[in-house]
Amino acid sequence: MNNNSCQTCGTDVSRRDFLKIAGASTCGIAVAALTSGEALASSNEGLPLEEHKAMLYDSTVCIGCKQCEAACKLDNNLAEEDVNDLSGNTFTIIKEYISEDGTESAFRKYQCMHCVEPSCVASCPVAALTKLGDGPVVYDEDVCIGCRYCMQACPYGVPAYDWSQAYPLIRKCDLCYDRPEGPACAETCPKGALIYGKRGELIQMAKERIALNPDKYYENRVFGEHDGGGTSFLILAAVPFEKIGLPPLGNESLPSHTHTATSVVPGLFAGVAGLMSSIYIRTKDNEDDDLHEGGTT
Amino acid sequence: MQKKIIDELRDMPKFVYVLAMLVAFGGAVGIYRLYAGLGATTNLSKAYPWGIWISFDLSTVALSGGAFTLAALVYVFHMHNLHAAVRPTVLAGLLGYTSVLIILFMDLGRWDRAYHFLIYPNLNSALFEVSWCIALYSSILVYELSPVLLQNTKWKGAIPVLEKYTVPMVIAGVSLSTLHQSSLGTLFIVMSARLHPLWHSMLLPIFFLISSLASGLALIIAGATVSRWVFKRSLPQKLIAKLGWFLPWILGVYLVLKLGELEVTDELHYLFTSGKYSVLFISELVFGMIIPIIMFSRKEVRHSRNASMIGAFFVMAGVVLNRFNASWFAIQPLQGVEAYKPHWMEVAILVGVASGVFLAYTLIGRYFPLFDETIKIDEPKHAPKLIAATE
Ligand code: SF4
Ligand code: SF4
Ligand code: SF4
Repeated sequence: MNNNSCQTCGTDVSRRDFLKIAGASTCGIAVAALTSGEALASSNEGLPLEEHKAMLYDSTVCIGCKQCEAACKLDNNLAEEDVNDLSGNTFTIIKEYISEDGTESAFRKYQCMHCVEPSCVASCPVAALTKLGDGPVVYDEDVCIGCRYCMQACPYGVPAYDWSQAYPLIRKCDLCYDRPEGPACAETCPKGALIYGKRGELIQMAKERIALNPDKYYENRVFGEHDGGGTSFLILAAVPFEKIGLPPLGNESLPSHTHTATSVVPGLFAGVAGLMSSIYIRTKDNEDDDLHEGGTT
Repeated sequence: MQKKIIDELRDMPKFVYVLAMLVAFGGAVGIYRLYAGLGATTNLSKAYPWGIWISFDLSTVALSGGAFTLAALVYVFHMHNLHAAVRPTVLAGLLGYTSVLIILFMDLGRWDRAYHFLIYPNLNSALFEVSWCIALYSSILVYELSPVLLQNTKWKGAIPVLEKYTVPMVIAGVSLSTLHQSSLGTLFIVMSARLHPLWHSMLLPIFFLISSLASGLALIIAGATVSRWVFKRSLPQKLIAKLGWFLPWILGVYLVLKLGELEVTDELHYLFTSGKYSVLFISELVFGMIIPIIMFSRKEVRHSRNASMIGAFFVMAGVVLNRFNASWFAIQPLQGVEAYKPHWMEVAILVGVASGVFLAYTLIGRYFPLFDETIKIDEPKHAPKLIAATE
């Protein structure tokens, strides 16, 4: 044992001390790894996906009357303002796309998409954003620290910050999760362009519409069935989805990419610590050479 | 006593006063920012929720990577002849991280709840992990620096006890650094919709980690030269040459990975076809990697103080540009939204904090045994005294 102490500097972090500490930290990490696995599992609890609360927005039926905007403002007590994007006082907004030559046009209702695997939820460092077991993605304004990572992470640019406040909060649509009748916007829509229901049934309904009118709808596809891992706000449109501001995300959820990186963290920590420890012990014997040679230059 | 203080103040170099004024001004603006909110004092917006402060944080953490790189080389790889650089570098790292913590605090819309990081964990969040690692690692840096601060005080009896655990602490620090240096890159993986494809990559964590090794070493090299001007103390050129020897290898791996990743994901064509983004990316490659690789591959450069310093500045500039690109310049604008430009108050706070770093470094260098080791280096027998412990 004594032979292990560093001969040049007389360090005596004995191997036993050292291993004790290394061992303790590795155990801590293992516990962290287990609990983080649990956290993931519990966030997936809840109703099966088909029964999640959801909305179907059929852009071809929407006439752009904006009554949904007004209903949302009324129900959520939001001030009137003149904006052309979601904001601290605007949880939903209807925008019209008109092609350059004017032959093609479509409406789009912007609001939180209530993603199946939301980036905002995965990113928030303090878990102020959560996905409820029945679908809505909701925000706890007492927990948020205002780092605005959710705004960066959301691929649809949904979370807005109330910049006018000295102590601002994130504001966004919560699918009216605590309103017994369901979303105020859907209730108000005079044309039935906005339908509230169960996710599975709404996808079914959307597909029936496509089947009745083949080729009316872009790619004969429901946006949100799979896009970005799926959403609870489903969209049908006659024009390409990109033209009404829906990003091409592929079918994998964004957090699944990041999760690959974050899930290796506990292992990486233990790995680096272990590697460093073994290098520490191994290189001890060589250090005299290293010192007197004067290195690699 | 009073006279002594006045004399001491008179004796200070002039730039100390300039720094102190910048700190005071930045501090005043900072207090106003906390009082008035982000909307009134920054140009951050929905389209640009993060601005120059985050770019600064990323750059500073990367540069401060010198502290963990060097600690690993000295304490874990037993390269004791690099020991003379430890104290100045650990101090630079500690001050760097402190400035990051202050700016992060400024950046929180609800700074009054900063402690929520501790009590509402989201273990899946890369940002949660980064903030924890930075906080823990800063404490380790305080620990690593404590012998310097205690040496000439009545608590110096604690030093041998502290030093007994230096090696495990260093290993914990290296592991924490590996994690947060790379996780800072992970932060941007989720932003695939906005970040230009030249930068966006699944390898971002690895890019961030490797480049932090390079910029950290470069900071030690450049710092050694600057401290010769300011303190008339420096590291032996032989040592600087030894550090410089690592750079072409690290930067070479970085360069190959960066281009290789673009090739594999079929994004190489963006290299010359993306206008402003191409210019930014190629600047990183040429000034931050290719030029310093060529420079530090040559023995004459490694053994010349001035040439080493110029090379080191290229490396640091390249890495800083990379962090600014990933968090600001290469975030593609949204239609109909004006691109972000920092508010003067954002800049004033930043300048204040950065001046604070230089001021603290100067003062600590003046009053604490920061450069003691620089003398001892020619007698390797005594050099590693810092970790000497009771037998
Ligand atoms: S649309 Fe954005 S804010 Fe809404 S759940 Fe998805 S990621 Fe979160
Ligand atoms: S701004 Fe608030 S809700 Fe958004 S990620 Fe940060 S802490 Fe979470
Ligand atoms: S679901 Fe509720 S909060 Fe969301 S847009 Fe509709 S009315 Fe507004």
